[in-house]
Amino acid sequence: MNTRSSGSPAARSRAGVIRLLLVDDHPLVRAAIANLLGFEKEFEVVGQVDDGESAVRAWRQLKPDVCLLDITLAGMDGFETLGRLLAIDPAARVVMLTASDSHDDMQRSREAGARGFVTKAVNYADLVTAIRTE
Amino acid sequence: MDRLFLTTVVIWAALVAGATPVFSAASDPVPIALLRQPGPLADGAAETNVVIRGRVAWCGKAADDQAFCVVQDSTAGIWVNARLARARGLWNAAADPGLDAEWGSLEPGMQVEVTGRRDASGYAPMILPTAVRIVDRDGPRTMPDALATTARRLFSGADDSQRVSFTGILQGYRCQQDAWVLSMESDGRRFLASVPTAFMPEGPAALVDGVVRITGVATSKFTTRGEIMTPFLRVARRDDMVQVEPPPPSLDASPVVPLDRLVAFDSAGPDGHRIRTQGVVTHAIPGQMLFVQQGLSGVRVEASTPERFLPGDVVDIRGFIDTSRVIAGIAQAASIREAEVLRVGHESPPLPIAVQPDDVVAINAANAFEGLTAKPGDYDGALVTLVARLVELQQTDTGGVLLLSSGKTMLGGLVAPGEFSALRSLQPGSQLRVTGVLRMQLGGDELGNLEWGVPLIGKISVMVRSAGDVQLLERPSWWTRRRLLSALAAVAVALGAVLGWAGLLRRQVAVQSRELAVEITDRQAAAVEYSATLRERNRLAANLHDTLLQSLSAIGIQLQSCELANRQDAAAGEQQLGLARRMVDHATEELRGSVWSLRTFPLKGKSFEEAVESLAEQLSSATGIPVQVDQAGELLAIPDMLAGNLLLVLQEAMLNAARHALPRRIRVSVRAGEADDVLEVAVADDGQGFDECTVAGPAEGHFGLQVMRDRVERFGGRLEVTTRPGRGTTISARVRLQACAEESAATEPTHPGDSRS
Repeated sequence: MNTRSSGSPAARSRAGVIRLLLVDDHPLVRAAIANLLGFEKEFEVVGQVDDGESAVRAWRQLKPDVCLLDITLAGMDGFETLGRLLAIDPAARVVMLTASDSHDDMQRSREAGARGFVTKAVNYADLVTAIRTE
Repeated sequence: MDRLFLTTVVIWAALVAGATPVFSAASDPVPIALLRQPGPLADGAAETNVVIRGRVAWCGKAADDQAFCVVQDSTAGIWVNARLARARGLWNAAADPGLDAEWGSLEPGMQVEVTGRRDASGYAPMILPTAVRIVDRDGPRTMPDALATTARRLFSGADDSQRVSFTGILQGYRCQQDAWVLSMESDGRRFLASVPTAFMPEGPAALVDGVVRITGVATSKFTTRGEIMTPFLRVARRDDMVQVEPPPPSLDASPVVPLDRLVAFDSAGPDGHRIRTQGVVTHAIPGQMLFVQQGLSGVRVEASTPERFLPGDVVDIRGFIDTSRVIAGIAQAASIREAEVLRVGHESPPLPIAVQPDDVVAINAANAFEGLTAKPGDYDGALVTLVARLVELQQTDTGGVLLLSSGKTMLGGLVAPGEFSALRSLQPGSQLRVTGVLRMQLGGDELGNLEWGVPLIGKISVMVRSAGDVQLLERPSWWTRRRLLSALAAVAVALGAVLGWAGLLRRQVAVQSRELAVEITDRQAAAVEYSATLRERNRLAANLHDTLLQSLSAIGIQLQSCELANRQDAAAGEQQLGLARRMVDHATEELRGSVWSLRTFPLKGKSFEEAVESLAEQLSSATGIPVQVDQAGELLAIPDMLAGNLLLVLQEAMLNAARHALPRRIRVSVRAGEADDVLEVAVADDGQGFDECTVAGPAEGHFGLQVMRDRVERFGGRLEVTTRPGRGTTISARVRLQACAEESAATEPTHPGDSRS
């Protein structure tokens, strides 16, 4: 597991800031998304993990506002991780992240309870909008 | 006599000198003794043109001998053959009509001069005349001297064409054209003499059985091989036949000699005169012969009397014992010739004696072994009846022969010409009862070249009197030898055809089975290939997704960061751009690793060991991890298909070790063992190892181990993974080369080493 936290639980309650948990097994993707979201003041990436088990633990520990969850993960994949997170917090706001633009993945994500679905080829504005609206 | 003496001395001197005198001129008479030497003369010219002068010792006057004469000088006589000279064109009577007249004037005692050619192609050298001249037509008829001779010389043929004088018993005679042909015997040897009937108009009957001295020219009855059979004296003058002893008194009062004692031991020895015997006729051929029998002994009697005798006739016989019964080692029982036969009674025809040829042979052989005469008899000449199987029928000039088989003995049934046609329908294999006069020929050498004194039976025959003497007892089996052989041949052909057909079917089945096996193998290989291809595609897709697609996505996102940062200030933009570059570098490195892992390693002319070394060097160069290669055993030729797949297994195993195990070093081993039939390759690292129970597999998108296992098992091998957390990992593959060779032969691609599974 590769987890990185940028704040304490007290900081998470700061008004106007959306606290994000990044879950992706590719370090470049995590680094690029975290770097990109750093340009928006209202976002704070509070944790980055590379697999589902770590995501569940980080969710319990960090209680982020939104989780950007990659579908393709080693071991427990994104859908199973989504189910675990919703089992912990049915109100969990999870945006599914994928490198493909599979309609099936998008449909399945919706049915599984994801709040949003973005591809990794999304532009910055659409990504921000997807996070904000969730 | 002085002249004769001088000539003899000249010839003698020439012969001693070893050379034939060369005559000074063709017209000089040649001593005849020189011409009688066997072989060609030294003087070829003399041989082709020779002149002899002498007196006519004999000249033929009958129709069949008037072309011959014998001329004898003081040295020897020679045969003059005008018939052969005429046939060869030497006697040219057409050109000189006087020739035939001169020849026709020849008379015994005339002195003549004969010109002609010497010819040695007959029995003794002779002259083929081209001309003849009577020297003293009106002179005295002086016969040449009769040369002194002996029985040995006469019967050896040495006296051929010589005028000789010889004494013997006149045993019989017959008239032939204008001559009496006399049958003579001297010292047990038989010879013939010819006397013109004109010299003896009353015939020689009164002289028979008397002793007669005959002077005449000795000629020879000889075989076509040139061997004399008997001498033949030709009398030229009336006075040349003189009775020396009159015939003995009548045999009417003489005792009858039993048939089985005709030539029995007699301390006084035979005298060559007539004997008297009696018997019962069993078979008769009028004018030729008859068979008479007493008890178990029968005798053949030659009698020229035309009287017809019937079986059962009792006859009184006066005749001469045939002393020529032993010829060339083949002996027959004594017979009687020149016989006078008188019927003295008649009784029931003798019943044939039932006896089998094997018994005849056994009785004679047993007595021969003991040196005794056969008891109760030898059966020779007896009327017998026997059972035999017909082997073959043969028609001959003298009638026909039934070749018979009885027990261990083969014998011939001799049938007269008139009777054979009635027997022609008999089939070989028939069981016959044959009745007839049994004749035996005894083998062996009369001089005693035998194990014992009595010759053994060499040949048995039965003289069949008529077709009624042959009775069919049993027809031959339909299964004759020929039919049996034909049937066997047919069965053999059929069996051969069946076996051939079966072999053909078996071969076709074998061929189709092989083709089917190849097809099944091909389909299995295709299925494996398809499955492996699917896995490879999935693996490739997963790899691209995990690496290239993610890296490109990240770089794309990072470029948006660059764009945002660049809007703020150049320094921030430059910073984000630097980060993007590092991402590109990282992605490039990651892609390079992926490409390396997806590459195949064809042999391309390298040996398997060299390819392994090359693979290890590339991995070590790419990852910085030392890779050591160990090889043990001598590797035989590894099929390219197997080599390519093992290289992919090693590549995957090394890459996995480098990626996940964090090893300090990797060891690759290649080992051949167990009679070079087993090949084992292994990759071992000293890295962190893993828990085999929890390791990710195909379900989790990790195909590496499964792909390696598939490759090895496809060649009948086995892949083993040995690992524990913290203790490193060893992945080994073990295959049998023989099995791999068969697998590779079935699936070898067109370009070995360039293919992947």
